[in-house]
Amino acid sequence: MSVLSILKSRDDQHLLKRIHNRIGTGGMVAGGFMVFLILAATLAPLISPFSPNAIDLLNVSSGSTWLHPLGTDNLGRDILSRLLWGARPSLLGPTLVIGVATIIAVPLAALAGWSGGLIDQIVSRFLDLVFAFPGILLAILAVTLYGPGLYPCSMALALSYMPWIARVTRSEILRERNKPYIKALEVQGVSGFAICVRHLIPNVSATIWSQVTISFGYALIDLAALSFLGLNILPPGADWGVMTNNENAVLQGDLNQVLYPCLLIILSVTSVTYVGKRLSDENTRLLK
Amino acid sequence: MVVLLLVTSFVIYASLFLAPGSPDALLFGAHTVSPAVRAAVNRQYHLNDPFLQQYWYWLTDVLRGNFGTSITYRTPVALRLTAAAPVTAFLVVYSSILIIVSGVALGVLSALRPGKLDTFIMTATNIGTAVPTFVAGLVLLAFFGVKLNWFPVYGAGAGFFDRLRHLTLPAVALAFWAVAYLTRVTRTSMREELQGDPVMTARSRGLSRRVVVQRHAFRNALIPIVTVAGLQVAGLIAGTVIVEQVFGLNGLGELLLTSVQDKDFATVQAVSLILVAAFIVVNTLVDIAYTMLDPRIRLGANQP
Amino acid sequence: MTHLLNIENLSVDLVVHRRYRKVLQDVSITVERAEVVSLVGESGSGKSMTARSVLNLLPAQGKMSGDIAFDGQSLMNASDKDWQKFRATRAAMIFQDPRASINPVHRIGDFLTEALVHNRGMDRHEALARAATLLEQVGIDDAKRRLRQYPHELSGGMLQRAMIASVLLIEPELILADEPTTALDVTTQADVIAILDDLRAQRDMAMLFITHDLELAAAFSDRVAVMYAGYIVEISTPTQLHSRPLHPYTAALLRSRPMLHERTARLPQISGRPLSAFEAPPGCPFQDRCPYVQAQCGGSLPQPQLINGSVVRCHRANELELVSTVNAEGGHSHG
Repeated sequence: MSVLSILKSRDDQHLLKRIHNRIGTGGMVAGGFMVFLILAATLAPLISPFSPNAIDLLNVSSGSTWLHPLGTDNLGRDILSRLLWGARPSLLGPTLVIGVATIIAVPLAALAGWSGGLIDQIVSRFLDLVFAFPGILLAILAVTLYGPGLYPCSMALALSYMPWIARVTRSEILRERNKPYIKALEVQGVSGFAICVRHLIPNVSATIWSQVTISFGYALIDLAALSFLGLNILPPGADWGVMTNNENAVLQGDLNQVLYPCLLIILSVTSVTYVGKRLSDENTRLLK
Repeated sequence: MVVLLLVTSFVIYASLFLAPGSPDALLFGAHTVSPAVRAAVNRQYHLNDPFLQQYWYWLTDVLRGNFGTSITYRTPVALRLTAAAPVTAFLVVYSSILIIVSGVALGVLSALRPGKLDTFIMTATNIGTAVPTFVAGLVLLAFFGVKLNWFPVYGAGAGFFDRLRHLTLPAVALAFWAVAYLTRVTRTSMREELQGDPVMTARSRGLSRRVVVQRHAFRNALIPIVTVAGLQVAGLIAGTVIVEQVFGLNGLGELLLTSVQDKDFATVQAVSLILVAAFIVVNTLVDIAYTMLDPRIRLGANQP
Repeated sequence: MTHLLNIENLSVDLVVHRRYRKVLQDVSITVERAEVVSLVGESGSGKSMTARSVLNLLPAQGKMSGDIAFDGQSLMNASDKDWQKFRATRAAMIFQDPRASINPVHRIGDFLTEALVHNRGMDRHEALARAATLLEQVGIDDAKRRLRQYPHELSGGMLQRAMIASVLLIEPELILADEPTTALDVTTQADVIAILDDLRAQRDMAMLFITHDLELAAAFSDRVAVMYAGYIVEISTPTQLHSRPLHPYTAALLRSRPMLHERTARLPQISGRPLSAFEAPPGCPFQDRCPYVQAQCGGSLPQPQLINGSVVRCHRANELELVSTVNAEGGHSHG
């Protein structure tokens, strides 16, 4: 059953209740947290107390104060503001990555799974080739060619995640493809394209969604790592990954500025992955 | 596998030409050079030759161990490689052992003893798979390195035991995520096998629990476990870039990063090639292991 | 004279969709030495679970209550070690789908000999020799070569024979056969049943034979027990079953089977679908599908009654004169 059908069905149940049935209380908490983060990121210009680059020379490396609830980093910048502004690239990046990866992967997988034969062979070999490049390495190559930044990194990662999504989708499509109802549609003369779009893909959507959410988590981690390495968002930009790139601070025991972004990363990834697992777990809830 | 290696080497080489600007602009980076030097370098790197011929020259050089000369440092790239490779190799092997031993042990334990221990391990690994490697590294550095001062925080050490000491924290950081993931996969596979039909048949024959778990549950679960463990080890190759940065190790990863910053393309090419080749080799080994574990693949199914 | 197997008031609860639900209710049946008793029922009736209970092979977190006694000794409070010993020497199970049940990563020889080698400490070569002999007895030629092969190299029929051989190697007193022929095509089915029949006669083994095929059960067994929704609704001999079934469900099952020697315009069906124990309404579980249902059927659960040597659970058992064929006369209730 298509995941998005939650939005379409018109039971007597309220939308929230239907979502609750699908992903459970834990899923609601995790999902709610992510929604909160996205809102915070979107509204950052309005709610952030300081500019992320504003330097407060009087309060360098301070702990929690009334002025700076989460303290300041070793250059005197307010950590809370940097977290809020930093949420934007930190959340946008993975979205870009999986968005592009899915848009390429799903049609490719459908093509391979549906056609079979030579086309399937060619696509699979192509996927194998892309598989051979670890994501971070691809990003490093991209940065070498095009310079650092969000776009080279996220596009490179999108390319490296694409085979994962494609492979999983392809095997699910291969499984569905042999089911009688698909054969029935074929016999009726429905075109391959129409079958894929209207039947095959919606029926494997649960797997695609779970793969997408899990990949979102990994992409978040990878992009943060790339920022940490100085390849993605560069200082003085604000991004959860780049905020952790302060070896000196750690060595001197000044942990706040590194602790908060790390925490946010871990919490975001846990939440998204948890929701993803619940979405793919079709047996969790009986639809009463 | 060989085909894959060839094709990937081709891709890495060809990526040079994807950059904006002409190849020699990339080679030279930010330096300005006189036309004479430019011409000499063009000749040396065969940049005026047809593309495929250039690739051929490069490939044959590489296979003979000649990775070219670093424009930036004016030393043969191979020299820098041989200095950096042992550190990375040690780190990866150390980490792999940690991953395989802990991941499988924890997963099996978790599957065999449902209850509090299992829940604890599950929660821990849930969080563990959300922790980026660099965060693990920083935390380990801050806690065990700085606060407790149990381990050195910088460099790779000299001599076997010193190196072991220096590379423990990096190896743990590198292994952290992979252990969490492998534990989960092991647990899931074991549990599936324990509930499956072959195990029920074995139990019905009166075999002892130990034999059932070893010969049937674990033996069958090994197939996905080995696959995932292999992938994790392959993934370490990318992770090493991060960990070497956190702990200031002079390995291949660190070499790669500095070359990127220096725009030393020859070195970037060389290191990328080695890392990708290692990745492919490990993946191929995993495929081979898989066929050894599952006779259906080995002999081909459907042969009554 | 003690029964070989005596199941009394066995109830089983399993975790289904996160809650404990009843799967077997108050099941009582006996098997004598060298007797074949069949358990017949549709999916969800509980027949497989009954067999698994005898060997204590319920899914994790399953709960059993009631009593299972083997050769006079109760097994309910046996220790793990005792259960192991029981399974290793006195009773063994043939499973439905050999391709799923036989471990694909070990050779056939390993499959056949592991019980002997690990449980009885037999020498491996001796065990293999015995296994080869048995394979030939169940109709697999070239046994020595087969022993070295892997399960995926054998056909379904051969695998099931190997499964039977593995049970016989243990030389149990009781064989539990869980739908041994369901996964096979019809001709192979006949072969396998023939083998089972031969071997059973030769070795004097008792068998609890699980199937959904009532005719097969009637042809093969000494007694037939019909199960519905976790209950045993009738226990009878094949002859009595055909001449006078006592429970409406049994009669309906018999009537709905196409017969070579009869013509009929339309096969009678039983309306509705088979239930599991936990889905059954209070009172008789069959009430919603029974053509003879009355008010009392929704009230209390019918208890087992003995009529003419057969056991039946039906409030109206004494009134109904049921027949097993479509075109027979009569067969309607009085009153």
